[in-house]
Amino acid sequence: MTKSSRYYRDLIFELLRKEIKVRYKNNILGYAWSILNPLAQALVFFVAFQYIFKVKIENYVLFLILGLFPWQWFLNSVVASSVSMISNANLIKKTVFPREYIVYAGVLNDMVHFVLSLPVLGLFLIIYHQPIYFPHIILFPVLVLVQLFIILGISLLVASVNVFFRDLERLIAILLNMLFYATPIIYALGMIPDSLKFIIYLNPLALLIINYRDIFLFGAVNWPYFWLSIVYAVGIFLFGYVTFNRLKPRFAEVL
Amino acid sequence: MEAEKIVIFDDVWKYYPLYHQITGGIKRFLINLPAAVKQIKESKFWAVNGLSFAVRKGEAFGIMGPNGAGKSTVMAMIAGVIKPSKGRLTVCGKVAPLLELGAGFHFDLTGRENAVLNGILLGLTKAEILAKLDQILAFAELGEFIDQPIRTYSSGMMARLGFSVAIHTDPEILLIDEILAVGDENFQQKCLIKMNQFKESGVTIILISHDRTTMERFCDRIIEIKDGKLVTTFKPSPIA
Repeated sequence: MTKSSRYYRDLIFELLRKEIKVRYKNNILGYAWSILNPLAQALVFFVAFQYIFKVKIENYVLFLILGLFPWQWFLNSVVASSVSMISNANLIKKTVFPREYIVYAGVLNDMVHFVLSLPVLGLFLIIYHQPIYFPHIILFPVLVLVQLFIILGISLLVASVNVFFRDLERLIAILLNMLFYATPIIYALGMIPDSLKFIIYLNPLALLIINYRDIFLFGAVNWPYFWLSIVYAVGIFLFGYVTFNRLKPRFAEVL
Repeated sequence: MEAEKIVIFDDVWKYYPLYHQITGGIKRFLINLPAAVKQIKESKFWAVNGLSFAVRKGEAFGIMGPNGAGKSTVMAMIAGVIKPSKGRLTVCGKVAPLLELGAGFHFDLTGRENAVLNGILLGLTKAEILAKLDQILAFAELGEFIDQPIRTYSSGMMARLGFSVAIHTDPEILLIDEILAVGDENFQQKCLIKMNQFKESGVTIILISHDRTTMERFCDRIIEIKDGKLVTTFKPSPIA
């Protein structure tokens, strides 16, 4: 291994280690707290939609978790990335280390967290007597990887653009809120009227979440959605990466 | 015989577009779109205007000037984080910037953990930094605080840790930006001794400050800049 590839490996590893340490250091409950958030959300939606709106979806808690956990990863990463350059301004103004690694480390940290939340998913699979569908389950890590690249692309984009347009953060908060309801997290694909179905094709996160559910709940795979999500992942990542690198040389001037 | 030139500014110019129009926000930018685009294209702030000077290897070189004179821009260009708009800038050698107090530190991590992280951000591999960790921690004189989270540190302790990491990265050019004001008298003395050792071993030190006394105490040569232009170059009279 050359010195520079060893350096980049050390850089990403140490930044990630820092993020994880900081997350779990001060409270033993760190893990519980961050699992609790999507679970509490799941509970609220469960009560609201199962008992008040009387929506008929089987295994609704499991259904919700399969949408909320991936959503939480996406949400946390994008929000944190949008301010990541500004909060590291004094470092960026003085040192030349590759800034994109701050974004990578943040997103990977949330991914590690997502993976650590899988035992909770497993627990609910057991509670609901859900079998593990084989070989469909093999696609799960692939979906996680696809999601990683979608999140990385969007994170690189918002991290770099927000340096120049500081109120992008606010716009992102609004857009994320809308995206949550535009994604079949609390409702099922089949409930969307035909006239609105096209939204699914515009929303890579929707494509992913539908497949997470198909894999775990029905032992099926929606192949068109699967391939489309890969196309989105490649496109979004490249777009974010190129934008970030175009804007990167000017960060130190603006921060 | 004069030492080789290690940093050469050859008629260097640097302007900043006036970004405040866009950092003011998307809303303002979009409302005034034509005007904003035009303004970005036309309005430039020239921070450095045709600056030429050279720093020699092993020199302690001071850059002085009032606020807004362009000192920080010059430093940022030497560090490589900002590129000149015009002219030629040559920097031969590994540059280590001294970071602002606590920059790159995380307050929940211990002094030891932060030293490793900071060293990596300054360009060392983990193996390199671990090999020097004992020296770094010894120089910082943190005692039992080494394994405490640095939110418990005083600003002096943090400054010592930051300084200690920076000087142990084997820099050929050390950039110091008004940092010597922190830390107690004792530690400042120690830093000065260390910097003198550095000088003797051929490390170049570039210092910026508007405090004349510190500069004259330490620098071999000082330039004064104003509005991005060179005003004077002088050698401080040696202190008896």
